[in-house]
Amino acid sequence: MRVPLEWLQEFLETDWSVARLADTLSMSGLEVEAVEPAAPDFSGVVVGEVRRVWGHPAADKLRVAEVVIGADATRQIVCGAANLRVGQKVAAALAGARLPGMEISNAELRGVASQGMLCSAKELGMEDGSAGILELDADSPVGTDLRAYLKLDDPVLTLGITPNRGDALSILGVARDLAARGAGRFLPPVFPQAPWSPAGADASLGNGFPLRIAADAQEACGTYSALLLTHLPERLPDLWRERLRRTEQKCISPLVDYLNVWMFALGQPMHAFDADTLQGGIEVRWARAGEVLDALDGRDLPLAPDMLVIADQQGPVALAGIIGGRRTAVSAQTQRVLLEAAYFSAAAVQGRARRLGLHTEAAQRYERGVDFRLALPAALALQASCAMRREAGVTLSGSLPDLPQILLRRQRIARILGYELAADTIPARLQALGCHLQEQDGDWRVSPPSHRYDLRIEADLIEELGRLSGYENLPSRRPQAVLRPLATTMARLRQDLLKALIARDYHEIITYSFVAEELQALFSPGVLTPRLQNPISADLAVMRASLWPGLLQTLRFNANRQQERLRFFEFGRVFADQKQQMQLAGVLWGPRLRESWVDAPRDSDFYDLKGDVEALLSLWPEREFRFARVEDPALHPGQSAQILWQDRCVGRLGALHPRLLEHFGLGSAPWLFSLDVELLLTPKSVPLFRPLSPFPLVQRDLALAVPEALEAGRILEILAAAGSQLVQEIRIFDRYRGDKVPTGHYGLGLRLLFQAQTSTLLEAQVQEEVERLLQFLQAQVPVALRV
Amino acid sequence: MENAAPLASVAEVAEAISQIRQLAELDQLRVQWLGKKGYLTQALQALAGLAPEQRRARGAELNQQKEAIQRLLDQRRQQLEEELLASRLANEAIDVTLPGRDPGRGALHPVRQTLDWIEGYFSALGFEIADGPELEDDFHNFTALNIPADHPARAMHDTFYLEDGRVLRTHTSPVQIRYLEQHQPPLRMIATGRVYRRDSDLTHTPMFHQVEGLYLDESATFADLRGLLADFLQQFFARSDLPVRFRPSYFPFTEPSAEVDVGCVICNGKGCRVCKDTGWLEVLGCGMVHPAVLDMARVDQERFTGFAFGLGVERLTMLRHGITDLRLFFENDLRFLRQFA
Repeated sequence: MRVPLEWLQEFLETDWSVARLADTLSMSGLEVEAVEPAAPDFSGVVVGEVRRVWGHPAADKLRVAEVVIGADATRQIVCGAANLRVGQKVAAALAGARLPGMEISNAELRGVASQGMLCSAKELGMEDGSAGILELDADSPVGTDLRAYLKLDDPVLTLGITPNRGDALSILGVARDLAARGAGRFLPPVFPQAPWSPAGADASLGNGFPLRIAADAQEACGTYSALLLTHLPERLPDLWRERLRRTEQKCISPLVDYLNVWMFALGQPMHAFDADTLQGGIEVRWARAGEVLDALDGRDLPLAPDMLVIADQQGPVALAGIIGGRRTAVSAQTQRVLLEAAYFSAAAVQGRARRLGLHTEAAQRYERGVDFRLALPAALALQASCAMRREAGVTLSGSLPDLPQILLRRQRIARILGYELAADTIPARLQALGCHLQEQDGDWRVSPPSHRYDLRIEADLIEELGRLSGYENLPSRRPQAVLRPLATTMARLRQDLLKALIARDYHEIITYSFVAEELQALFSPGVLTPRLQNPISADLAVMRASLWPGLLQTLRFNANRQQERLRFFEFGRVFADQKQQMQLAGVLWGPRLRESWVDAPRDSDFYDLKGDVEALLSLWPEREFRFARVEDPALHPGQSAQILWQDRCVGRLGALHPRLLEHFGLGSAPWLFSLDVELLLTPKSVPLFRPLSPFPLVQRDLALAVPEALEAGRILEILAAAGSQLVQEIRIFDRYRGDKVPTGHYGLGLRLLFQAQTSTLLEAQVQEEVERLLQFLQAQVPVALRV
Repeated sequence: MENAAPLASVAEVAEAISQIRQLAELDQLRVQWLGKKGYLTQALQALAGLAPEQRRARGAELNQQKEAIQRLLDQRRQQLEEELLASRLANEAIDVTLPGRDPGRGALHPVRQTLDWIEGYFSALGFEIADGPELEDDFHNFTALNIPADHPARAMHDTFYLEDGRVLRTHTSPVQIRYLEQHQPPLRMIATGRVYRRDSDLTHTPMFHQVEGLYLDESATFADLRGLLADFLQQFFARSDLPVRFRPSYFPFTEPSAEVDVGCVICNGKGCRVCKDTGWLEVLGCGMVHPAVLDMARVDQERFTGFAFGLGVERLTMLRHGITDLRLFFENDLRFLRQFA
């Protein structure tokens, strides 16, 4: 909403500076987004009158004008505009004038002297485009500086109006709010006396043109005034052209421009039909299935039964409160108009424009609520302002809204604002907004004005009191509350997980939760995740089922920027049909260590990845995690594992599948992991102390020959299952392939650490336990002791 | 006497000791003089053959010599050991200016750091951390927050719809509703997470992060809200004198509602591109919880009042670190991420 100060002052007598007004508006909830002058800087332009025009002897498209710029002062100016004509009042830039991006001097154009330039609105920086030179009112004073005449130094305020404040979508409403904040005296408009009383829902205009509001539409259309007018305006005066321009409303035709002027001034949208195109009478009713409106924006709008229309005998001629139709639109040939000024309820308009892809000034106002007492007064003011002749007029009545009676409790004001407002200031504040108050047992019954649909409950009035006092003047204090323990959360554990990754050189990334469907299919073929109805693009069309695509896209992004060693993780939700679960996933790629003078470079491998994952799992030392081979469409089938805990899969890790490696165009394979954090992030048990043995550790190394098909993990599992009281730890210290083990076998070096709690172990005890373990192992798998 | 011949003055021995460069030579000398068959040892043994008078005088002399030589040997040994250590240490010296083995250290995403900071701040004040789904139903995202279908306030959010009719939550406010379904006041809650709006340009990304706070108690007022948030913002920007102002605004689920500005942290309120020359930065929205929301949650409004607030995490993060381009957050350029280690 743009508010020219000069127009605002028509409704507000104030001596405040524009800066103070702007600040007050912002601090009252009508946020000022910008304050700008009505036109960019220019100088040396005066009102001129074209006295004579003749053709340029050397150029067909140019003409020469003699322009009067003051008593006894004329200039000869060459001009190319088609709308140049004798008697016209024009904006003449004289020699020495400075226009935006241009300086004017005496010149010769194709052999004819030109002492200035006749300007278009565009050349003055007032509009983006314009047809021909600016034409001023016939009575504009010749010789006057144009800036002074059009008040172009006047500021224009741009306000951001929140959806609850439909009343502030008018100059009138902004002025009223400012007056209520003490900025000056509110000057309410004086409307002509209503020349008739409202009729019922059925009436006729003049000599038998019937109008009605359908029985089931009377709530939606509370009042409908129709004025039959002739002698349409021929020109919008400069003052109002300027006001329209400053609100960024284009001039369309004099009549429509007048309608817009009054809409911006009062907030009452109106519509004009060419009366001679209306067939047989009009009705305000709900649209019928299949009806279409040939809307003024050039489209044919399919109407739904919850859309309110104005219809004649042939069908809809307007979508109530939103847009008119082409068939009955006013044109240059129009002689008589039927002017509509109505109250349509917000409920009858809300959402319809959006559904049809429309955004109109009228709909914006009706959706937020238009003063239901304003329609006829606005129509009469409009008619008077442009001296149209009224042939007939009528007002139909539907059912108007009731104004609520709101109980405002003195004690409740303090309860919400935390501040005791002086009781004697309360009625005056609310009355300034147009409320009516009645005192009742020390409290008040408040009836809001017809233009404030956002005042419906006590809290709304308390907000107004806070707003009018100025939030900046309300107190501030630290809250007081009862101390009580919080439910335990996993936030700390989650932070520990992420910190463990940070310590291992991983950077956290955040990627979008939606991905391209084709990409998803590569990682999770056959998995269906929720699909967006209205994605930004096909690349962001389905909810992700895995964090890996985002990690790999980020990997590629950075690899393309000359990064050679990358470790990333993401912590976020993945989606399945009904589930939305937190996952932690990561990727590592490139050399194992940062480049250094001290160690030889080596590429990362599975065991670097696994070491990182094991470091995360070590947050739960009491849990037994098992790694088992797994088939995953995204992973190399020979280099991938799942992580099992209590026989549930809590994660996966492995090398990116060579097919996908090609897709991402990465030289070497990235290593990926993912953990199902919701399964893992459960409370840790409190560690229980075990006494420290004072007796020495005994170490025994076993060299085993193991068949290739037998995984080392299986051997560790069996040994663990043997349940030795003496074994404290078993480590794998060597894995060997070569000619020292039988073909089809590999060598495995195990280091067993023995210790007893109660005595120093004897050589014989250790030997006996080693043999027992070996027998237990060999009973289950064919491994041999290497000698 | 055969053993008397090499006896020389202590001064001569001292001279010999001072010439020695090796511990082994020193040892040889010691054996030569003080060993079992050393000159002095033998000389002492030979005392037995002397007359008592002679023996006493000669014995005292020999013992003095022995002690003197022993002392000289010890001094020289200590000297040589120190020299030896010094030379070993000199040999073992390394270039300490070469860089150490660097296991590397990553960093949390700057947005996560802000989220963690805010969660930590409010946890310390007794706010419970709550969570809610990102795929949300229309009721929790809109209706329960007093945003009916077709209401113009819906146009404030460009919503992503799923094919099954659910929405990607447009704000974290639905967590308020879910929390109220499970908890009774008095309560203090904070929720953080991803939110989505169908908007993508220089200053909007289709996904971003919000923080939501809810506080219901028997005496919670607008003044408490102001105090709580002023403290929070001053702590967050680490400036105890940071100006904080509340401006009336509109949110369907609060009444009264306010937007909160802080004095521009980039230009200190002088006016710059970031604050559009106003000297103020809008950083969050808040208000007293709307009676319609409390009704829906069946809260006794005569007993409990409260407030809610919501803020955009990316914006706060940008202001805190002076980041100028929102899109950097989701490009995840390592050169960007490294700056926040």
